[in-house]
Amino acid sequence: MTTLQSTPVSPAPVAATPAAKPRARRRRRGWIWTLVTVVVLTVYLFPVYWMISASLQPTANSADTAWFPTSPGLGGYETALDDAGLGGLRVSLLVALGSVLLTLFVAIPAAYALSRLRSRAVSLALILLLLAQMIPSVVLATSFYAMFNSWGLLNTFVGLILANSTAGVPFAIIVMRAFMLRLDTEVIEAATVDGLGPVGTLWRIVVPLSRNAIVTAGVFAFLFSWGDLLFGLTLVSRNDMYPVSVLIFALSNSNLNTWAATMAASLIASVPALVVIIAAQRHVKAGLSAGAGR
Amino acid sequence: MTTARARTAGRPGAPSPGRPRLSLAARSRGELWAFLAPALVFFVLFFLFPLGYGVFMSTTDFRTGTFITGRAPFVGLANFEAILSEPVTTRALINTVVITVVSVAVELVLGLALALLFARRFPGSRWLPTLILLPWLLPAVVVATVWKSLLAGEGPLNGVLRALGLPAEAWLANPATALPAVILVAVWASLPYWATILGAALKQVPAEQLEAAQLDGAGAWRRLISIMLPTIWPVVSVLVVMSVVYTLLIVDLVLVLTAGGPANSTVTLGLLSYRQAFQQFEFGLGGAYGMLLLGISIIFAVVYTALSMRRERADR
Repeated sequence: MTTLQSTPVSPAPVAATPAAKPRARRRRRGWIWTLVTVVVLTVYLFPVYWMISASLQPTANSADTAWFPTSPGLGGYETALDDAGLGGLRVSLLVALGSVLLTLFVAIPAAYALSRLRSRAVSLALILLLLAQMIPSVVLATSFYAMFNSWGLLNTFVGLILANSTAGVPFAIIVMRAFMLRLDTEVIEAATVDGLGPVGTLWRIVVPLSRNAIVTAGVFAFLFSWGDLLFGLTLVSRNDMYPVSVLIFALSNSNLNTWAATMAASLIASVPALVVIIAAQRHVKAGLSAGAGR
Repeated sequence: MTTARARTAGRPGAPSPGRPRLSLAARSRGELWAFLAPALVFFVLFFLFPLGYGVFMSTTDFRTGTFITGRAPFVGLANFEAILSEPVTTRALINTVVITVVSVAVELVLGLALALLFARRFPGSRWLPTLILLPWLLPAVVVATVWKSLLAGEGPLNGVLRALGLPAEAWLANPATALPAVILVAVWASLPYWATILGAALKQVPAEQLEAAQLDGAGAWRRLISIMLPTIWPVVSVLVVMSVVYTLLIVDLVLVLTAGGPANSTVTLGLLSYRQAFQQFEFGLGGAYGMLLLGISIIFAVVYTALSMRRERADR
């Protein structure tokens, strides 16, 4: 705690050097801030380094895991990627992709309608969307357990996809609506006059123009679902249907004598999120900036 | 699968031939309303109904047997009386508020400090700050697991402390230090979000104003208080309320780090709700805890909604 808090960051002047001073001095001061940033980031990112380092030390027990893997081994990865581990990754991936599709299917038409309609109901809908995000997921999980039990959706992909989409849908509608508000109305009206039906207008004009916002909403739906622990823990009771997050939870609770497998599983579970966000980076930046802060 | 079919049925197809001709505008307005149907169905089925069902459960004696017999006797407010008479509820209420208030306050200060640091121009200032996003991509269960090993009795944090000659501590196993440790992890996980959003907000501060203030002799602190903070205030206020609600509802982090222990020192309302419903199979009591949590988050939700509606209007 103290290490983080005492980080020497003072709100010092933004451009303290008056123009008259030589540029060389300004550059030297610049390097000081590079140094400060590197130190801050080193301390802050140490846990990430620790995860990588510990995952490569299958022979060390939990007490003598070293700061640097002097004799690295992949034993942790072998344990993490056994049948259960691979099965968990498969479940997580299918559920996350399913949530993305369901979220977009529900949210794209709704976001478009809410961006075009001029009605009191739009404000009401926006308030409801905000309120929906405030419902504790543990409340939803408890009700879903009873509902899915009678619908036969416990231990199924459909059940997990439906539950995880509750995190993505409100967010997706809000982000995409904010983006669609900026679309040129004339283009859309021209399409309507040219005889394109409402579905055609949405699919052929609005969706391609809103690509950035749609990718952003999809990426977040993926991340929400991929990161979920609670629904996986409560709506699944069969070993082969557990998502990878539940498997990591189980590993971290078991009395293993090495951290390597747990850390290896954690690392593997973090990679898809990284890949998705890097692949979509450009779109996400553009998609979020349109609706920034709304 | 009935849900999927209902949703498809709600989608508008081509206008049927027998339909009376409306004006173009009226017709397209009707079609726009139809576009809301899938979302409406989803909202009713997966937000409204579970919420109502949660209220129903919290007023009944709902337990494992209910799933077999289908009987959940109505007990009125007995569940709420039961949980409110438990000392652990008070503990959880205090912990939930303490975790939320302390971590959001620390996140605001540290997030602003980082945003100010990253707003400077220095060699590497374009790409170094993006590295801070890394922890934000880790699933909560991964964050908690990594920190569990960092904070362990023989973990690296204690290694550093011992090397410095400071007392080591089993941070998550000691009732006195477990709650601060949970807060530390919550802050660590949220900081990228704060630094990024506040960084974007700082870009809106007019540079001319800062320069003019500097020429007038305003110090760094003065410029922060009088120019930067007022400009980014709308963003800060929404961010604070949003984070408060988000932090109130955290369950997974605590569940993985401590599971509420040691000696119930880190229980939260969300955790107790999970515990009652899915470990004791007392869905009625779990529902009551959930409603208590919902009540608290609604108070903040109302504030948040009021704030964001005001921004929406200001943007128009």
